[in-house]
Amino acid sequence: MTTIDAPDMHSGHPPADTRSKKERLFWKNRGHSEHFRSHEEEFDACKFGMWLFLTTEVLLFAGIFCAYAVFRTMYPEAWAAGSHYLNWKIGALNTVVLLISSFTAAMAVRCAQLDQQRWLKLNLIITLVCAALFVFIKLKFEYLPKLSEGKAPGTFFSYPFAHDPHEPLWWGVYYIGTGIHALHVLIGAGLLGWVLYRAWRYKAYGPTEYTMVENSALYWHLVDLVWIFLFPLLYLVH
Amino acid sequence: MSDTQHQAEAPAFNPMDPHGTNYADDHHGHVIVGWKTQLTILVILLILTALTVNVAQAEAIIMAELNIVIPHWVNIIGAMLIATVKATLVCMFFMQLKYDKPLNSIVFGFCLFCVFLFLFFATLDLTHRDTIRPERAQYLIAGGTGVGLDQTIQDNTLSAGIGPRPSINNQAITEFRFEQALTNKYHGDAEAMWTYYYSHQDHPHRHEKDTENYFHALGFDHHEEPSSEELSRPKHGTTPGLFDDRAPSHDTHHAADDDHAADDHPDDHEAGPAADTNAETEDHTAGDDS
Repeated sequence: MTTIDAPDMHSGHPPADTRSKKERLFWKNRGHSEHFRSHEEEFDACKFGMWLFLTTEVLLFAGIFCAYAVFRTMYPEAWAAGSHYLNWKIGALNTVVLLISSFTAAMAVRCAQLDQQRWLKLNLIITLVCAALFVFIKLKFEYLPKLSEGKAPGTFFSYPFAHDPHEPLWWGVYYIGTGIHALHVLIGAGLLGWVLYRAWRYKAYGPTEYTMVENSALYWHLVDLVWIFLFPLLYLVH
Repeated sequence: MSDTQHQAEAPAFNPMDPHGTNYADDHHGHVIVGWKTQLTILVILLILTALTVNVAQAEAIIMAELNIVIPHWVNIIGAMLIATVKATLVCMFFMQLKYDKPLNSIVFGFCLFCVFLFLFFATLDLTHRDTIRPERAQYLIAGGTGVGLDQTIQDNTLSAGIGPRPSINNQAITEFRFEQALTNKYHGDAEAMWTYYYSHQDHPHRHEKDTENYFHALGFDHHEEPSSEELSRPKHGTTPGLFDDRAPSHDTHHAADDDHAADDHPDDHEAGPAADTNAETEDHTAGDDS
């Protein structure tokens, strides 16, 4: 039987959502995408996708570690001299900062799972402060003093007191390794800042909706993971 | 992990909804890792960080104090082992691979295997990359350089070798920068240049490019080589009491050689021992004059 409102009913468009953005983004009101059977399945797919992405990140850094290994074997004197230019105390301090932030990121996931909104925000804030601290220490005590002395990569090298002719190569590996890592710190901080904003404004994350918290934290842990290897290779091994 | 929690298990099979399409109770079976577990992991990670730093420091001290040369691979393998343990802890607990579906671990493990392949094949021939083994020489043919591999490559621009090519006056960039700084920044004043260098080091060592030994002449080496009963080393500068331990009575074993000089300059304690030691004499005198 045809009725006058039939076209609207069967046009395939859902009824207009009249709820405010705050209501729609509240974690209890979140559904799942239509092409997933359940929120559970969507979560697993998202997380698996994140892990696939993380493998490409690992392979990106693998290129740098490869360059490190090859050039280190070819020019061990340059690498020994280069490692002596770095202050291990600053590297160790940054390691501690990143480890603590990794812990608070893991705690943020737990707080979202348990609907502890205040602790979720607090953990995210601590993580962000650690991220800012890391970048500040890197710039203030490492990059800027070294660049002002002329310890720059490749053709930009102008430090007069080099011990080995291959030191520009060492600085190339140093800056590209720590630079891409620092870029990842900034991106990870951006992701976690986005999570913090949505948690603060919309209470967007809770026991049934924490995919974004989990994946941002995974990204942050990868940043930590890379630094765990960069720190001894650059600062400690001589 | 006693303090981890499991969220509610999935309900029993529903014949009206065999694929669970309409099952709305999400996130069953997800593990919530306890804060005590995570805090323990953090503490272990911090301890391992302190350990890896101290291992490197301990090796440096052993090499300096006991004169034992520790091979480089000990340092590298030790640091990498600790880093691997730390990375495993982060992956298992912070990234929750221990509690996760195995697929994520498999994917990540395969990725690490690829990293191993990269590193292995990139470093495989490093120790003999520039050499041709005699038994393989007959199979080698001339490459793109147009010359036989057993001949010296005349044109350096054709060399496939990695490394600094001769640039200005056949210098490496580091040599060029050294002379550039000496000429442009210090206007040929090597003393000013080395004064700047040594005064900006925490524990200065003589730089191998310091051929005139300004390190000695400018008095930066008195931390490195202290005088002892057996061996007197000249000290520089105007620090009061710096030469007190160099009284003539301590140099009795030099008395035969030093008598004449000591008589001529009774107030100058260094003149005697310095006269018979070595080239340090000149540097020392220059240091006093400046």
